[in-house]
Amino acid sequence: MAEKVSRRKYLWAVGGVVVVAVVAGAGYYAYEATKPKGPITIHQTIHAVDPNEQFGKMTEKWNAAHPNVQLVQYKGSTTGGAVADYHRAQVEMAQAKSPELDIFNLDVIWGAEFGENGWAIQLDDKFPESERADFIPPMIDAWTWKGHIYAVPWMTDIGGLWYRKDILDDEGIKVPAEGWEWVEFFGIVQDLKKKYPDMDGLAIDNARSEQLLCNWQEFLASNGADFFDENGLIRINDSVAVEALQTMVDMVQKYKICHAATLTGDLDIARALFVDQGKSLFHRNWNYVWGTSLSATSKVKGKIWVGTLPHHPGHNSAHCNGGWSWSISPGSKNPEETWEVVKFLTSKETMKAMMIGGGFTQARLSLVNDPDVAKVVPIFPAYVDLYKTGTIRPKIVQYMAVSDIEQPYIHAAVSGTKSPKDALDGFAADLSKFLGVGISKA
Amino acid sequence: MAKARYERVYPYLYFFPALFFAAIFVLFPALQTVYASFFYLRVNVPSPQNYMFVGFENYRILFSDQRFYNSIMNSLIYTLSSVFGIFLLSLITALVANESFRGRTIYRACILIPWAVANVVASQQWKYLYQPGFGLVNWLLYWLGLVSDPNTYNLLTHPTAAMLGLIITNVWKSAPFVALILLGGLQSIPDDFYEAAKVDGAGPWRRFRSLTLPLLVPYINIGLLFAGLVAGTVIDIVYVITQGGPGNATEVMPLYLYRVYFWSWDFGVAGAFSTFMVVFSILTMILLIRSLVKYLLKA
Repeated sequence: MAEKVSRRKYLWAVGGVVVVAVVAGAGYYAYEATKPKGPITIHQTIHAVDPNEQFGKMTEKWNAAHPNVQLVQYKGSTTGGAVADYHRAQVEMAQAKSPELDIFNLDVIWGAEFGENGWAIQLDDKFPESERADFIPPMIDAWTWKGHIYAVPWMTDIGGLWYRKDILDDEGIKVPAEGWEWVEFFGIVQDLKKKYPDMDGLAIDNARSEQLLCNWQEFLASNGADFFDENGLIRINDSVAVEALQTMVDMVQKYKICHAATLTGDLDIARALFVDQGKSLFHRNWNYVWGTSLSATSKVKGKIWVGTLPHHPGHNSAHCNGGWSWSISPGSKNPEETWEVVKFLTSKETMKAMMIGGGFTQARLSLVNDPDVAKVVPIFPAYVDLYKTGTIRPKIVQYMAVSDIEQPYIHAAVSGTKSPKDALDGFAADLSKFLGVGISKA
Repeated sequence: MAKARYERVYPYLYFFPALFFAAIFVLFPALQTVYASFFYLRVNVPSPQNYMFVGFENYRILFSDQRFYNSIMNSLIYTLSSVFGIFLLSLITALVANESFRGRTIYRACILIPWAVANVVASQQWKYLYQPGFGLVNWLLYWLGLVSDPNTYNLLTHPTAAMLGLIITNVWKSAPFVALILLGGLQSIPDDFYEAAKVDGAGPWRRFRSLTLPLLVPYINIGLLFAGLVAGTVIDIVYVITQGGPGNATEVMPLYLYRVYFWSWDFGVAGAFSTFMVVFSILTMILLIRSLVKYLLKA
């Protein structure tokens, strides 16, 4: 027979629900109380990695000088596959016009997407042409969409051929200013590997990720190939592109100069091999390698430099442009104060302090000739040289979707499970279907 | 005698909070997803077609996508192989844990260690184990004579070996929980049954086959259902170890669905995909339960 419920038990149950609700509410208010006080809080996203804590120091400097406008960061990983989550989180905030995030930290490949969808405020009047002239041109180009500018460049990335200067000097080898041809480079690495058998030839991240496509962009552009022709038709599977991919495949499968985990490890494994272990002769990576080479864990302090990537015969080298910028959310409740923060972070003084402190390479050209910067970052002019032969990934609104379609094909080719021709034919067909654009017959 | 009002309401107070949260965070999003599957919904494309009703067009796009069928095949291989491996490993683990021996308590405690480690952490560790040069798996394969150079062989670049690597990781991760379920089942079998079987002259294998296994069927049923559900919804193990590579050789349904949602931002097709996955999983579970119950009734 069912137990009879007493009124007392009933009241205890109701009381229990009320207590849980009160405790949950109190917990929420306690959490709110831990947030920085002040009439205005500006929220921004930022990389989880902060070399020599320079960004943290700049934030402290702003907060100390502006007690009524406090800066708070949400940190996110931008390495390997995590960059997609970083993108996703910001798109969700942008699409919802959320007031919880004021400043986005965005990759160059997202410029068309954010511009087209109105997910960033136009900065034409705040960031005029005269100001833009002092910033790295490819980044300004990446963030200009249909005649409007949507972000201010902050940290710049350019792909380069990092090398062991000490070893190459001992061997009397100099990286030419115009770069070697790819096959010539493969031969040089193979010869060096015989003399240094405990070293890997080229530490390069070819795992299935956006990084793979950055590498691929450099092979593609250094053979004069491209995604689209002058009529806007797809030409990614023409003979020139197939030849470029074949070279990339040969690097891994035929000449075998890459480190063993090239197809499955991530970018930091390759970097650690070159910097922290000192076990690779060459390394393909971005600017931040210099800063890490000066850290306590580095075995290559003062022993590395960056040079021009190789190219195909009859063409120039190509260096993939990357980099991150600040844009203002259309949902920001305090756009003017937010702009003041962006101005501070991208001012010459702040960017100079960040570079001198060992932070990321900043995107201002005028810092190249600054003597204080040159003392600490003597490699900066070398980066600027690489920008002269910079190449950008296609500026497409749905670039992330295109990247997702492209990655498995390129990875299948470099893994040896698909021929370059089959891989690019497959990619071209899927790209054509996705974008609704025809494939060039040329 | 009619119940007082508070007596009628009283039981509902206990599950109303859970029901409330389930409705908000499970039922409503699920219904919204099914609803979205009938609309054109490209989040990152400001098109006038957005939010337009398109009927079954998203399903047509999905069912004409070769990559979708590839992901189904990968999911089936991964799930069925994992379930088989989990069954074997968990049964052996449970049988050993059920015996009396010195150190049994420590053994039983250690069973749960793989289960307790976070999936992402475990996956990253297994990824390092599979790496050439410093990965232990390569050296084991070399010692067994299966690999000639452990410093260069990378099993994650071979489609079949990469899938096997993922399955091994999943079996290691999921077998402990199923082993605990089976251990509970083993402990519920009275010792008298085994005594009687011994008296009748049944040897160890006969006792296992005719007594232990049939009585364990309900627990095996629950354990494998759980294992199948976990394997069928995997994303973290695959994402961390292979990202679906080489190419798309290990891209399973949940990982492809994630990419349709958050790389392509096509919420219409993703909604169709999600709906398909739920129906596919429910039908598979019903078939599995029915065949196991049939076997149970026969036994």
